[in-house]
Amino acid sequence: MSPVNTSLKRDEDLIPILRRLYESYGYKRFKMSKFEEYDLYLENKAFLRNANIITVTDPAGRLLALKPDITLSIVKNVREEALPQKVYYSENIYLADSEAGEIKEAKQIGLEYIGKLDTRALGEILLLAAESLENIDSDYKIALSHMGFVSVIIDNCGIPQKAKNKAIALISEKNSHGLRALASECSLAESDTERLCCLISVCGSLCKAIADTKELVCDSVSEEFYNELVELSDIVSGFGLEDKFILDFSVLNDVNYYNGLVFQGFLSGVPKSVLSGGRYDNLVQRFGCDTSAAGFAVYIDLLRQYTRLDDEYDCDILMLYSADCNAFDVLLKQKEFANEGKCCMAFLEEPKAIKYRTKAVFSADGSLKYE
Amino acid sequence: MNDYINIALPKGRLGEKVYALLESIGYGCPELMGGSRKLIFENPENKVRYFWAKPSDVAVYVERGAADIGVAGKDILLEAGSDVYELCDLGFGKCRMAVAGIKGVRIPTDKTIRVATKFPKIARDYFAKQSRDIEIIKLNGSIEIAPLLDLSDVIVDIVETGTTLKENGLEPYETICPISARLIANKAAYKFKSDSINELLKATVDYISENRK
Repeated sequence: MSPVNTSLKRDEDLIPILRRLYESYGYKRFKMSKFEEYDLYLENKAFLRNANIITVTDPAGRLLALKPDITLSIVKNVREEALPQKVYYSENIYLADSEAGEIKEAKQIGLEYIGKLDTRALGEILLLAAESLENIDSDYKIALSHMGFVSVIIDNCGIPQKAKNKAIALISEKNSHGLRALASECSLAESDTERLCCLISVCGSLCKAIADTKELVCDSVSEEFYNELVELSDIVSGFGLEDKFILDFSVLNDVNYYNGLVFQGFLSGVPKSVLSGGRYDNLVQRFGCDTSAAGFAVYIDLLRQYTRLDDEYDCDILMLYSADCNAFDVLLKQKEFANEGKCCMAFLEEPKAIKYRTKAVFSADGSLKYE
Repeated sequence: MNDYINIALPKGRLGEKVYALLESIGYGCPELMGGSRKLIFENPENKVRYFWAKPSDVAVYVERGAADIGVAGKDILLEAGSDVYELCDLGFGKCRMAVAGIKGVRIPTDKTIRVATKFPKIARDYFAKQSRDIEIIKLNGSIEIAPLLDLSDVIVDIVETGTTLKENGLEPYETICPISARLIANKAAYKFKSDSINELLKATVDYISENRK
């Protein structure tokens, strides 16, 4: 029942636009092989959105995986002396859906910024995320959240470490009744329970939600994270995007990898997030690189599913010519139409299966008569 | 079209109860209960659009965005692992998911447990947490008969009052989790309609706490 958004751009048209966009900010194309050693994913399973990996064995007996993720492959190759590194990719990933018994190939385009990150760099990433969606359809929203901030508040409210992941899962479900039950299981004070539930209830327009969040600040760390959100909010508002961004702490990723800003992008009429990103210093540090990193990916395959193509007609003009026409003249006429941006098909006899907007008859004297 | 809230209701008594609640807080749609043969019902005055769905399908409609919000039992959400917001516990249809078996017999500890159930995922997750090895026997109904015929050692099923179990010489052994109807929302739709969905949520929560008193 949700309206199919017919104004969404087709994925083929979108890729060159996004590539040019990322290149104009100095991101270099990162091209990679389809395969990666399976161990990489085994060691970082929680980083993957979908942990069902397709494996193959190479002739030497090594276990390889068809890439289920791009970021890991980029990050594992990072060397400290080569920083900062700004890369973008346009690649297929491969996922197994064990329940449906299917394997899927999905197109992703995205970028990674590896190196020292300040507010400007994070702002650049957010603005590029917004512009990526703007290029698909102007009716979009980006929900901002902050893994570090949420994590500090959860700890500060007194949720024990072993229940932390459960608390994060409940917040990401906006499940306040469940969160209250967990709080009472952990014998939290009522004021702490309320603060915890604020992480669910604070959401919506950037300006108001940021103001509401201030009350949650409880120490110097959370204040630092809060200030980062304020600065980023000022940046996107400065670019006139305040109504495109919302604050929503239910947007969360794995706390073992993501430590700062996280965000997801949504398009009207598409029931899942089409863009996802964040700051993942913990991941690069796992690979022994003492630096920070952030990036995002656009799920191009989702667009394909939710775009209804305007394919009512096979061509704009169906041009019929007779055997005594000069082939050169017919082709010249076709080229004229093509130069005007019109699709013209020429046939000797009218084919039954072709749907056209207008029909025209090309005569041997070179004239064209519309019917 | 876009400023409507699309609501999926579960067919049957629960859905009718939920509709009565929504109607009383200003989200009525007179056509809906009028016995019409239509499938989709709209009220342009309060911008709501309703449709009935099989209870176990509501979460699918919501997760895939065909409905913005809906009402589904926690049992269905757990079994499907639906990626949706669970906005509120409506408190309707209260019961529990339990492990049950023949009265006085304990869950075997020396062998693989044969578990008959309509909820294989819930059963698997529950026993995996206890590091128990189980064999799932997926049934679609009359689960209680399985232990009586020695088809299974235990069952994992919804227990409301326990009367059916008792009448058949069975008893609940362990509670897995409490179950009730939940108001759920599509995560993407919520980003675009958070104001109107939150307004409905608030009115619902107020109504529930009012009626609990």
